[in-house]
Amino acid sequence: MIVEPARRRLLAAAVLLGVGLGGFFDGILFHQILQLHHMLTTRRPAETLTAVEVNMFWDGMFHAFTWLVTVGGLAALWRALADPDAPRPPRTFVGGMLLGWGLFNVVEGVVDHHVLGLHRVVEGAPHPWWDLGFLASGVALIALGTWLVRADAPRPAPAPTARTPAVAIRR
Amino acid sequence: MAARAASAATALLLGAHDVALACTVCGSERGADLRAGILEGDLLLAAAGVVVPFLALLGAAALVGRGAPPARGGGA
Repeated sequence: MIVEPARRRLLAAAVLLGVGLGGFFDGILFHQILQLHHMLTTRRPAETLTAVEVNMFWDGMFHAFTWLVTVGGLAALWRALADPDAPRPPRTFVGGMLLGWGLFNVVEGVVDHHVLGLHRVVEGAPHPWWDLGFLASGVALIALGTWLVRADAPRPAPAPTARTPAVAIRR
Repeated sequence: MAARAASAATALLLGAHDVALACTVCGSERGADLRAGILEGDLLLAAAGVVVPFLALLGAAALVGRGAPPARGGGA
């Protein structure tokens, strides 16, 4: 995706914020409210109090990194908006956040669910559909975010035609 | 080296956790169980599961921001 330099700083901040907020969405909804899984539940099922506490510790580590990335995103946003003349296109910002959220789902899904095998979206589910759906949601968010960012790209000036100023010059 | 640093950091965190636990109804025995549960076995794997995705994502954000013009005023 080609993005002109003036929008890059805002886009990078939005991606960082999307990664952080996407991580919080995962941790708050899946780990805590629905309790579908915790960080290590494939390897240490939350069946004893100690196992629950071990999982809670690693959930906390996950949230600590998520918090750090969010703070980094805020700092990057601060820098991006420091220049009063910097462009602030809303679709670039929202699209960047969706892009970051989608990247989080894909990278976390591939690394933690499939490569390291630390947990699954729905622990103990007899089929992989939830995990594949999680990856698909990431791809969909990336596609939607990319589309929004591209929609903000400045339109190239139209080439002169027979009815445009080229004709006027001839007159 | 990295494994030692991770173990030391975890032990430090759990040392504080033990103190907190000792002050509650949990008691320090559970703190010891927890420390053993974290330090034995899956420490590096779990640490990788937390750190690797975020490093990859930070790299992706850095790639997106590469070539950005320097901020004017107020920026670092």
